[in-house]
Amino acid sequence: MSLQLNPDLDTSKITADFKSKRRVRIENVLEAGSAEAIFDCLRNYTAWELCYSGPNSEPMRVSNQDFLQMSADDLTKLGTEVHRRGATSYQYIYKFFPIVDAITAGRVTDSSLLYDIATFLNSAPFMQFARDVTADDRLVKLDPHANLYEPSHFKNLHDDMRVDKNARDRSTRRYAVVLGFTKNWSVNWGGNMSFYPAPNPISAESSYPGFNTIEIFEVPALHRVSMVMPFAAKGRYTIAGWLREDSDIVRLDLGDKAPQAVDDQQVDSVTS
Amino acid sequence: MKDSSLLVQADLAFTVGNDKQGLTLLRQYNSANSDDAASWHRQAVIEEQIGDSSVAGEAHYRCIEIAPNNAIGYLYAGYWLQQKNQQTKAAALYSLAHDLDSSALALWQRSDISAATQLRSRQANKVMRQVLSAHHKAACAHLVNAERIEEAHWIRTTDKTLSYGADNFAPELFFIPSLSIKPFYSAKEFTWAKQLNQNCDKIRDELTTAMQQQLGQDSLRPYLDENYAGHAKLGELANSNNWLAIDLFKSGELNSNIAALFPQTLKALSALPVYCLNQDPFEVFFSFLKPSQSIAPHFGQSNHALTVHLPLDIPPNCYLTVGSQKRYWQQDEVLIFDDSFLHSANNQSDRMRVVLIFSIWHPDLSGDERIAVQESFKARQQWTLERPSQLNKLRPA
Repeated sequence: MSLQLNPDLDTSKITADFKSKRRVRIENVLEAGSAEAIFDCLRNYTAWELCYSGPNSEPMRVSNQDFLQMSADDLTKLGTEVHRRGATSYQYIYKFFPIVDAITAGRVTDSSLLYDIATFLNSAPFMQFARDVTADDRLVKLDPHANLYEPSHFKNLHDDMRVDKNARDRSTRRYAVVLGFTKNWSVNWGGNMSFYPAPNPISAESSYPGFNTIEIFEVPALHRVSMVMPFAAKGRYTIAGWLREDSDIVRLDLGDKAPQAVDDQQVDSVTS
Repeated sequence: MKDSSLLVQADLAFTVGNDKQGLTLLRQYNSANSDDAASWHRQAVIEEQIGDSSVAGEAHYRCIEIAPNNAIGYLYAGYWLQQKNQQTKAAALYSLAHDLDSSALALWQRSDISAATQLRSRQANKVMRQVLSAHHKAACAHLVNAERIEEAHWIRTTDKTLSYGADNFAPELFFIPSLSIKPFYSAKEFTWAKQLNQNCDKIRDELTTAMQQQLGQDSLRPYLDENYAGHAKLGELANSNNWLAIDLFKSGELNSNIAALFPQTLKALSALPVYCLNQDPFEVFFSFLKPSQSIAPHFGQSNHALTVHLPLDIPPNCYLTVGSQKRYWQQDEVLIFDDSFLHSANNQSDRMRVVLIFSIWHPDLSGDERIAVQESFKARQQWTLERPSQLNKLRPA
């Protein structure tokens, strides 16, 4: 499916909003049909894994297959452990789908909308939009993953730069992107993303889960996802990732220029 | 060269196939004759094909500026925006075209219309439905417990084919599929009905006193105004004194001219789940149907509200028909029905029939769902108000 940005976005206003705070949230970011298709994919066609933090805040994963075989007691026990550790350390627990890893491993093919999502988020129109909003032409790619926060899921305060665990190359995270696909959410259900000026602040700025929204913010930025309340009636769906700079990639489709052949000359002179 | 000869030269150039030169001459002609809407329209269409797209937009703008009441100008300008993937803006112009000429979006069905206009009319019909259906869903998506309202349809602009599941049932404006459907509701289903019946005397006394002593003649108006003249079923009652109304609330606003005369009525209403789009009831009025008159069978606006009749002065042989069910009004006994069904009213007596009419929320709707309906209506109203601003998008940056 051809996913598209909402053609009616006022990019100049969004850019101005971003400039003032280095963060912006945009409503109705995608064309309506694209948003509905992604929502349907996340809700019905995504093999969620469980993602949580270990005793030393290290990332832990439970595959979809293993997760489906876990008993309710096992899940409760695991959740309780993470909650206990969360009182004093960086902890998190939520459902996760590594779109890029799955494509690389062949588990997601071009017949899947998840593949289309990764393609779209790296397409010239989206990357140009990201460059326009951030006024940063260094951006060349985005590595998306899907998240589902269900009741009792949360992510403690972090800045997105603690460990660039998804770095597969020499790229650098510059901005975080969170696309929201959560419909009909109640503010009573938590799950809001809060941004903090410092580790021990007296106030924060929060945004609640929404549908067809995007949050773009420069990293590092202190933020967290508050716990989805045990009584929440549904899940909080997002596609997230980082807009990256990567010196190994040249986006000719965005008008970037290929590196000069200076290096070749130097090599020639050495070898001659 | 005279302006008219420029046009002749342009015509000649197009006739012999020298389109570029024709366009150049047409541009010159329009520059010198800025009030010729037809020529601007022509230039816009030709610019789209062989000229400069941004100039086409400006030409469309000029055409509408000169002839703001011509639906065709909006139709073509909308299509230009649509070709630029500006669906929302295109839909706004298509909607304005429809306002000016309700047949604009159905021209594609007519064989006597040019293929170019048929194309634009068909696209207008399709895109307006897509955009407004998505707009409704987006308005509901951020509201809690609004799933059933998200599945509702704005009848005239839905992108789905509707089936109602009941005979003689077809709301004209808004339809929520998941609500229960029946023509009449028993007053026993509503806890407030008994109390309202008991307030009949007070309400009737207030109306009688007001009409005898204090009410101005201008408070009584034909219930249907001239806009209904073309209505297929109610046209005969447009601007007619055969069906009159005294408004307590109209379009969500209290009639402050007469409100002080009806304190008990307003108090009684305040205890009811009266349908409202803002803080006040949307519509409450005393309805007067003259002797030997009838209101032809017609459909109401939506199934999210039920209609309540409080019969205050009921002569013999006065009845209401909803769907296939006929009920005689009984004085002081509230009658509740779904006006999404085909319904009609008859006064076969020699006296005026007087009923207090208002709407209540459909009892299936939760508080959150009522809010969602209100938000969808507000969003639609806002979208409607903002349509003219989209015209500016035709102008080059």
